[in-house]
Amino acid sequence: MEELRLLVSPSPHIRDTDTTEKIMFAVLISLLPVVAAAVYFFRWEAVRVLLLSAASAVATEAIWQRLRNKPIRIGDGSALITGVLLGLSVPPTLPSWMVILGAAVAIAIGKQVFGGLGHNPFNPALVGRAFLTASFGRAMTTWTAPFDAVTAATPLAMGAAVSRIPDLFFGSVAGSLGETSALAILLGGIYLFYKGVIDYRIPVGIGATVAVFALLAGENPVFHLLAGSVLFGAVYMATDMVTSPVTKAGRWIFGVGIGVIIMVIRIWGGYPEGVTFAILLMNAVTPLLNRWTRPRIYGQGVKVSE
Amino acid sequence: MARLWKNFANGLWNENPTFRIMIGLCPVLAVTTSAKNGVGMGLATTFVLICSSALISLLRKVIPDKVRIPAYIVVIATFVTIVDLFMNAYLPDLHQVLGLFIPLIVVNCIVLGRAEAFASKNSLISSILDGLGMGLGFTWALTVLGAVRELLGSGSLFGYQLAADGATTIGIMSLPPGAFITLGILMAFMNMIAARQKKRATKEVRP
Amino acid sequence: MVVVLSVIAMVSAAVLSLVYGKASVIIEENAARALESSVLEVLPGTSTVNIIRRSPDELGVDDPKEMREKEQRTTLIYQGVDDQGQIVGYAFVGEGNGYGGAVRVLVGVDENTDQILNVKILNHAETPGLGSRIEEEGFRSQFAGKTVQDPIAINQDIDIISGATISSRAVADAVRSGLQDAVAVYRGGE
Repeated sequence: MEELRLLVSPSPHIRDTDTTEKIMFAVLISLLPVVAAAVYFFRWEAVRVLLLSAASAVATEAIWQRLRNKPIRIGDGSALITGVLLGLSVPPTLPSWMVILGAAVAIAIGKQVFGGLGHNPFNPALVGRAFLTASFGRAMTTWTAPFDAVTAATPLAMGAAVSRIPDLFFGSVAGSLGETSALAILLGGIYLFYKGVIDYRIPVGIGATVAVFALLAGENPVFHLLAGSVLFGAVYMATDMVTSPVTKAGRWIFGVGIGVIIMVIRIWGGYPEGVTFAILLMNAVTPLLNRWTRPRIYGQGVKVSE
Repeated sequence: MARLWKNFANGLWNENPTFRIMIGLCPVLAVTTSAKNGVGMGLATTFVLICSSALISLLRKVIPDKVRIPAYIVVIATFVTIVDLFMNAYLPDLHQVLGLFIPLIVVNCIVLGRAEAFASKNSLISSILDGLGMGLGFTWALTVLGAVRELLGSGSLFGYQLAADGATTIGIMSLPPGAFITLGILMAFMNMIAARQKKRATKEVRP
Repeated sequence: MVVVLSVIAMVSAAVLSLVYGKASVIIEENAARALESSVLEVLPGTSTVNIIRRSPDELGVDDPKEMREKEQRTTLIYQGVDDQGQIVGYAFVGEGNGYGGAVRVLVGVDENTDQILNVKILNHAETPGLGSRIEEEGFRSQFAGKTVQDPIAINQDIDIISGATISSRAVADAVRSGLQDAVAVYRGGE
């Protein structure tokens, strides 16, 4: 009889077929409608910004990992996604060197300084965007109307009375490259949900809170959902699995918190748009949320009754 | 003689208060929006450091241990007030820019720290040299940080406009986050140089 | 140990009073000179500056607490007189809430027409490159020629600096409310 060989290997013993690459690929596919809408509305500017941002992000990660003598992992696609997301969240007219700098900062300071993928506390694309907003205030607040590249104000700046809902939904309004077309974002979001990449709790939490808050504040909830980057942030930025809570309850709280901060900034704050800072602020709270909503171990903490 | 030189040179590099010991960082981050501010703040602090270290060293046998902290604070506060009044009278522009941070020199960790750790236990000359070294080390750190932030954030250096009139500057460098980021990068550089120095030193020791 | 601490404190106090005495003279001179040069900017042609303190109710009061309250409600007017003895105009300091803190402005008003001549930004803590653009000539010159009758409000007769709504509004508020107070006090007696 053959000798039975018992092999003892370390955990995990149950494996899934998911890999980082697969998840990133799914996100890229889901971004196709948004990218297509961006190119449709903003033409060459969209192509320029997206290409530069993605290239700069990937290059920065490769250079950093090389300088630090770490294995070069740009193949996992996370830097590429960060670059594309950053590109989609800036105005189409942003000068090229600012795009390159922003993407480099997003990867270097937003991600690599903390130890690379999985170690960063803040969404790297939003770190890059916050850096750009603080550094180049004027360039980051210059918007153009779709198609003809004439300087225009965003729907949020103009107010609900002036904006038309169909325009907001299909995307022929001024704004950053990715935020304008609600339809494209929703298509991408549905695909991501179908693929199991994002948890519905965060986007639904954000959207519901924004709508309810708007109603309570006497504003048009549909306008607030469609104008600005609420949808884009809810589907693509807030759901970043590294910087959002792990537990179900935690994700609800996360989503609601983001929604509240967005509306507070929009209604009473100094900026017309509050999504970037809302998500970054809640990113900071995520470790606490993870701790608070830790599931109780079965049998622990239960009093034994006599 | 070598010991005296070491007292002085310590604060400049090996035990640079900003980059190596990392104390007194509050004014470092707040005041270094320009190189001139950095120099002004650094020199004011250096003056206080030298005077207070000297006086405390002179009085070290006289001040009882139980009241040493209040005594040091009174001495330091006196010199800081003198500096504050002097700057208000003769350098009003710099005084207005540095504002609140001049009186805050009293609680700058460097001043009280060196008084406690060094001046209270060493001779007058050593204490003066230590104060001078620490102060100048602090000053050059502030100046470099201020120069970088001023260059990138306002396009000028020591007030001389270097960038063209309409050129875009990196605004965040003039704001606190820029200070943190710049300080971090400079510290990384210092660590890299220190590591290389140590590697060379150990190589020389080994036969 | 009480002795040592007391001695140190007394020496310190003595030294400081000496230094303070000498320095405070110079400091006051500096402050006066700075003020004069600012007023000169907003009231062109001025060679002497008179400081007028008036309060809305010019009642004489003896009670010290009431005196202090009256002082707090006093408005400071800087009157500019040219070298022929003619009154050029009057200037006041206005304050508004900016993005990073208080924004203080010095406004010069013409003596004959009660129209704003010039606005100077004294202090601000606005974002460099964005809100700090309130210092620009193009923005400040909007206020010239306005009187108490004008709204002096953003999006009405004052254009904001794009991207710096709060900073622009702070200046407009400072000018408007300051102007109302100043005119009331300066002309109130007549």
